[in-house]
Amino acid sequence: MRNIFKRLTANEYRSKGDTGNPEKHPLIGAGDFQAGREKTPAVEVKAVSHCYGAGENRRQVLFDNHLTIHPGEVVTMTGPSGSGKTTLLTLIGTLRSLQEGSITVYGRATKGLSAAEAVKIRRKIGFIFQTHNLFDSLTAYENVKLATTLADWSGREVHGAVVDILAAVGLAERCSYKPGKLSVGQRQRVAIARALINRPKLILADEPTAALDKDSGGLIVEILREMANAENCAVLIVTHDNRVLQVADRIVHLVDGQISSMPNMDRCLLQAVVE
Amino acid sequence: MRLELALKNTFANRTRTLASVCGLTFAILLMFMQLGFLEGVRKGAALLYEYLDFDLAIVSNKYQTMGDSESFDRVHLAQAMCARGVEKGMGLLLSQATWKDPDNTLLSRIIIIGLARSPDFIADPDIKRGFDTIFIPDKIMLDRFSQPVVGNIAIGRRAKINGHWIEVASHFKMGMFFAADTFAVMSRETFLHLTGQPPQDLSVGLLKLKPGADRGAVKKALEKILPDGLQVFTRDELIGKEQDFFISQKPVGFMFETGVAVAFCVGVIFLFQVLSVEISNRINEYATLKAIGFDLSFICGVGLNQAILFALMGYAPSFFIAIGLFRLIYAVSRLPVSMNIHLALLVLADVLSMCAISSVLVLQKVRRADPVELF
Ligand SMILES: Nc1ncnc2c1ncn2[C@@H]1O[C@H](COP(=O)(O)OP(=O)(O)OP(=O)(O)O)[C@@H](O)[C@H]1O
Ligand SMILES: [Mg+2]
Repeated sequence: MRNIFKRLTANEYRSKGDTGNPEKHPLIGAGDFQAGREKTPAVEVKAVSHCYGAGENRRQVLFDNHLTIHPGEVVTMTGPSGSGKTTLLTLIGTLRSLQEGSITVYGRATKGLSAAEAVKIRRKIGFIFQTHNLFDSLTAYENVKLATTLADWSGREVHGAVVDILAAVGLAERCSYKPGKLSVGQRQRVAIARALINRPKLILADEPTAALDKDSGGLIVEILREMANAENCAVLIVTHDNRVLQVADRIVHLVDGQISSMPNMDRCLLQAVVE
Repeated sequence: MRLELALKNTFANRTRTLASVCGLTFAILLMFMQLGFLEGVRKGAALLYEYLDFDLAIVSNKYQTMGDSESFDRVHLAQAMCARGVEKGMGLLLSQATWKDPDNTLLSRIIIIGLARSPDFIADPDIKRGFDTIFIPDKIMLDRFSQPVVGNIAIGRRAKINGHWIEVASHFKMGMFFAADTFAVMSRETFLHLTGQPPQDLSVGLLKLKPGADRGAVKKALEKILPDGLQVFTRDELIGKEQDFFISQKPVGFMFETGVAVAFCVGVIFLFQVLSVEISNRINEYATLKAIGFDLSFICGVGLNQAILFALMGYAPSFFIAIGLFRLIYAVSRLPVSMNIHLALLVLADVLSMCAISSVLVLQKVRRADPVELF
């Protein structure tokens, strides 16, 4: 069942790319989606299980999960609290070491990585955390600029890029503010700008819009969607937010530690059926 | 960016930073003081030889320090003066004695120095000025920086050395309170009178070489000529030996060295504490850095930069306070303490190793910053 579903998803994905929808996603071009059909998936999760604790306290929270995300795809993950969404996200992001099963990120296996290797993979990933975790002593501009030291930016490009991305998240006028003087939502947007500045090939976001109002939340969602289209990066968002669900290519449902096959409906497929 | 972040972090909370810098300033100042004292003792220990002008010195094998010397027969000085390259010589007599002020019931310790009438060997302007006065029998030149126990030291004052009356005729500056309460320079004749030593005795034979003579070569030649019981030192060697004696053989050196070690530890602990709090407050920020792909070396670099910043901010004021305190201490105790490049660099080196040690300790904390907690 799951496999059929995956194939359908891929088909739908392709057809969507072919027809395109320039109105909704102005950055989509046919070429982007051609490129998006690279052979290596951005993320491939196979038979992943995970346990916390040891001995008597040992408790399994993930059970035999499979998930494939292709470049250019926006996948949202929903599920009840405590179902293991964050756990799965941290496993994919190499922040937690994998116990059972396999996860590859752009073809790179993440099992048994050394700390240095994990750091290398993480540089290609944009993390958006539930809490913002910006440097209090740095301005919004400096916080974003700090991340650019991880990638090969030439000195001249950096300034423009940082200003642009802050403008893109609607903070053009707040560049010189420190986090203490920004609202929670604004801080979250700075954190998002920081995650996106290096054009990551994979974006992992945990409830990125939870702290935001409707407008700024919507803006974030749009940005993530555009990143996926324009940069052909894969996006995995854990969320309950309807706005996020709307722009997703695919929604996966994690219940009791397992990606459930039934409600794992592809939104587009669903729409197609309805139409 | 590392330095920029360290700077911004350090100055984000000015009040806390100021408090930390104050604490560090005191720890570093303590180090300046202790090392300054140590240097003062070292410098003071050989002050007598700094006051004298000579190239080589002959002493007995049993010579320890100017306060604890063994005499030898002056014939050996004459012997040395005949050697090639030697221009002239002077005998120096040294002895411990007792000083008794008539108004005072206490006996104090004095080191007496007997000189022959060879003004060429005197380098110190004070001794030069009063030199002639000491060749009147039983007149002496007394240390202006004598300890209070010595009593009235005014010129014309009469007191007893080893039970014999003498009169203070002039002053010079010594102030080595850790070696004796006071010092007196006198003629060879007065010295022999006060101590009752046989006239052929000599504590140190001082030699001046002819212009162009090679010290090393003359020293070697003298070592061959002189009997086994005697040693030959160059001026620098004798001064070094004198200084080392107080640093390594007397508790006074150990005392200040312990002080330096304690100040150093206080500095490390304080810096560790400051950095620890700093890192704890930002542990999530550091974890984020780790999560988004900064390696440990970057994060530790930020920590180390902060340590250095704090330390340098503590160093600068303590440097200037130390200059002031050294002047005060010299005025009060006459210990020759002063700020100099050597001391400044020594403390700076200590401060930087303080940074290194405390950063290594704090590093453990950064290592534990777990990005997984952030989600
Ligand atoms: N560090 C940990 N040690 C032990 N158990 C943990 C740990 N982290 C999470 N768990 C447990 O694992 C289960 C899954 O947690 P996880 O954080 O992945 O859930 P989630 O789906 O992200 O929930 P939410 O929507 O509330 O964020 C929970 O039952 C939780 O109690
Ligand atoms: Mg969660």
